[in-house]
Amino acid sequence: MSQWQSHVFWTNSDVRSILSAVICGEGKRVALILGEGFDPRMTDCLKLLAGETVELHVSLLRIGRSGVAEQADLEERVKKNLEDLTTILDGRGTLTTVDTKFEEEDRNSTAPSASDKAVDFAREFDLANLDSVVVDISALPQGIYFPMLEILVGQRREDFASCHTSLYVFVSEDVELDRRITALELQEDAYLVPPFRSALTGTEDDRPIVWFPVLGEGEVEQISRVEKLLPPRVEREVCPVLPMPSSNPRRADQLIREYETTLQDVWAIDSRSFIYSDERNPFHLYDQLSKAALRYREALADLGGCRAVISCHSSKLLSLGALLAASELNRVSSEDFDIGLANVDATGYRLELGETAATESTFFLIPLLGEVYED
Amino acid sequence: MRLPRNPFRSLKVESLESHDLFLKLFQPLALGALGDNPWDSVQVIRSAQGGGKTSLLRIVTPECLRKVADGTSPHLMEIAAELRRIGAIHEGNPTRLGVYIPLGSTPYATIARSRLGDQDPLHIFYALLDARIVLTAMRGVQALKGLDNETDLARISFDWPSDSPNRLYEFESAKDLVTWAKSTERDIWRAIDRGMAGSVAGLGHARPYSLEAFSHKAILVDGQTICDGVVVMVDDAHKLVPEQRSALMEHVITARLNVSFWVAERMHAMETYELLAPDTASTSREYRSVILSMWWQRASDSSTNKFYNELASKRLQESGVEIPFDQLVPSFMDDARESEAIATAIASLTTKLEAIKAADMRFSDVDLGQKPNQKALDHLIDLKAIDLFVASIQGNAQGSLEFEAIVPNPTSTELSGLRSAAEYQVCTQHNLPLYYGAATLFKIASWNVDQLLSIASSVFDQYDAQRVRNSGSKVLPRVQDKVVRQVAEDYWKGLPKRMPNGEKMQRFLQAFAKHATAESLGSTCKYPPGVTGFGVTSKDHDRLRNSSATVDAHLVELANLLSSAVAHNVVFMRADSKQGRAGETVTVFYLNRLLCVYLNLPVGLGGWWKRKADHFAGLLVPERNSGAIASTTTLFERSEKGP
Repeated sequence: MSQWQSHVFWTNSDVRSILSAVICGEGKRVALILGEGFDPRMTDCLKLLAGETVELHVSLLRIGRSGVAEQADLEERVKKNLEDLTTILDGRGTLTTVDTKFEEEDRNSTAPSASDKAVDFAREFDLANLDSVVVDISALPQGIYFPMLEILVGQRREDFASCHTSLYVFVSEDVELDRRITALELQEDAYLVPPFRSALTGTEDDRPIVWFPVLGEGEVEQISRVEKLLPPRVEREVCPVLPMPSSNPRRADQLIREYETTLQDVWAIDSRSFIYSDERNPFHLYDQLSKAALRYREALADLGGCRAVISCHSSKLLSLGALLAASELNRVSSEDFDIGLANVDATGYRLELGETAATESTFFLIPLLGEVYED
Repeated sequence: MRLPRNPFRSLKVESLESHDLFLKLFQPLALGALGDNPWDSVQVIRSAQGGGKTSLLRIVTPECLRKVADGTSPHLMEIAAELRRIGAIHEGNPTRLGVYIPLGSTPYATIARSRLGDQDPLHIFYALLDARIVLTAMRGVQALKGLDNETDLARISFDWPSDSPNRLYEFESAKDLVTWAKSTERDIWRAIDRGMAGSVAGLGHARPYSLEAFSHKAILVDGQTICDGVVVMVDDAHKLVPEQRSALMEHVITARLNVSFWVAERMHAMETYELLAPDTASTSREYRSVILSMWWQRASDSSTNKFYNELASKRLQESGVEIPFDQLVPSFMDDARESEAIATAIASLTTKLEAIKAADMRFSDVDLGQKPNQKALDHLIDLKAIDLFVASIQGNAQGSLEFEAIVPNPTSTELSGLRSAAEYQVCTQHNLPLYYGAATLFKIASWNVDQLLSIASSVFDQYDAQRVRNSGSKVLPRVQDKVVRQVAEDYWKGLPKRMPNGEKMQRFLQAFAKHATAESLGSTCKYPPGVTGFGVTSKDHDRLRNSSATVDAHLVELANLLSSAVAHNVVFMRADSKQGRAGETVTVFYLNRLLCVYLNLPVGLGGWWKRKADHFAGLLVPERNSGAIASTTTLFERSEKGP
């Protein structure tokens, strides 16, 4: 049975209610993990928690991007976010800064050092005496929260159980704002985030690869880099994921048009290979991807099995679904099946503020481990 | 396996699953880059992305060598001739065991950053590298000798040399060796993923043992040696962390290897100092280095054009299009719409020149007429060349008190030097297509196969659409021009993602273009066909190369930007050219020709913008960049080599 077959998550006002009624309260100890950055959503979760009665321990992951220095206004935004954070905390609880920075001198090396640092952080994160851990991924890049969450959800599952600690993910989703943020200076190569590296490094080189790219707008270059990561001359099946249902009913069609050349000429996609997933429900994508990958595993078992690779080029919310699927599949990896989760880091960003600077975010709170799933 | 509908979309020939298709599309001319004897020293093959490194390695793999050696088609025999020349095939048999090790899909670099306890990260790297070499070599032996996968493994045995202790000598059978390699790879990677790499016991892999063990005498099938040499080909070495790369390079250069060793890597693995070295491709006693784009630049235009045309035509052929690529993209304008524009331009230019002739008696002998059988466009270009010729004489005579003699009608030789500039100017000024014809498209590819394929792919889409609409089987110049400009625009937009500090490079190029366009479209155009690069003296080049936080610190940013641009094929460098003033040598950075298209510049190698390195460094400062900098003709120099 899949781990999150029965699931629940909350949006907007329900998030506030759950924070008040379940997560926070007199004597409750909550750890909040968030990323330092220019993203205006950086402090959204903190603002909600700060209004509650709770003992709060904040871990601020310093991401650092060399490209930010190019844009003075982004640096200013980072500073402002940090000032806001200090103001909101106002001396309450504890604030720990964690270095997961991608240094300029790392550029010549393809080692995803930020991911490795995130892994180390998650492995060493002290759960003792915590009631809940909330990871706010709104301002974190995939290269950080993918490995961090997988370590917490996968390798430290037992620790959460023994400490009676719950794990939640908070996402402040804003499609319009996402559209205005452009990744610049992509890292030379895509990579499999830890701890999913062994999928493409084993000796079973001939096993076919099933690749599930979750499509989103403006990611042609990233998708092409993930494709280059896959070993050549190995049978490959591509199953692109399209957002359907979506708040924009035409979004899937528009994506097909945007990626027409790749879909038709490069991948020669059969329309039956598309996977459709609700863009506002990460568990739907999780379910779709897990089932599809396992079906491939079963179908190809007699031929020596297969390897599955997932890459997410869409929203934070869907990326969480991709991660959960990868996590679940990682638990069933075996001699005939491996799973990889691919990512392309950007080392610089551009934020284009349109005439309407203010955008509206939707809050999501997604429980992954803990009391919600206890019988 | 077939190519996709658009045969140029399947970008990399080396990624093609089918060896047969790879061989069909492989161009033997490229093997020239390996020199005559690539086996004796370490070979380092470098290029930007899409330069053709991997194809050079793949052709030497056992599967390809076997097929080439057995092949009877003219194309395979052509490849075989080149492989015989370098000693990879002899008397119809492969003589080398090529062991191709792609480092790309294996994150060896992450080992350096993992928690390994007491383990030396280099030992883990060497153990994994050995495991991969062992597995690939054994598979290669099977392919070379046509052995069946599992059962025939027992026919492979080893006669290990007894020169020095070696971990691999513990294994007497191929089966044991393969089992060791498989379990080593699996165990190490799983341990790293679980954060327990420190627990991998007893590696003690102090060096890559396989490079000593796998001599051609050591590998036997049915008790017999199978080849004259083993070559280990490590691809994508730039994906190693610098410590791994330098340790591996140091080892293969200093240790006594029993194999030939080739390394392919992208240029950005090189340091700024190396990238900006006047001679980045060198042959030393230690290793031979070849930079593919530079090797192609030294080749003649005709051989480059032949290479590209065959490469593109074979892809067309594979998707059922029998027209050669150069016929798909005609290089002459003959449709009615262009004729009308050309006629208008001729009329306007003739009127202007007639007026000059009437006003200035010196030019009364200048003939403006159309030659018999001359095409209208050629006539227009001639008129524009005359216009430039007249302007240059008028410019030179200014201020002179000497008697002004009648200027004889310019000879075709006199005009030929101006024709490239004239063509660029008339096309630009009269909105005529400029970037068309196979030779021009090949030039725009800038010695990069990926770039050629992206242009050809867009051209093919257009051709395919015309085919469906039944509206012609050739892509007319106007359409070619439009398609290429679109590809150039995409390239420009992608620059920030393509290279570090790409936005800064865009700003720098915009500042450059401001001057280059004005100069190229000037009324005299001293350096036909125009300005397409920028240069500094060799002395300034040295300053750039040696700049640091303590010496010429203000040049560091420019040095880093230029080295990165060189590494990513955004500019290409010609150092120590004897151009400019007598006795002075200079270094010119020419733009990738696709950038010339985007910036509306000619694509031939023409003049270049000469300034002090400090001046170019100043262009990177936004406030200085934004202001107009006075254009001065004396700052432009001419290239020795024409387009």
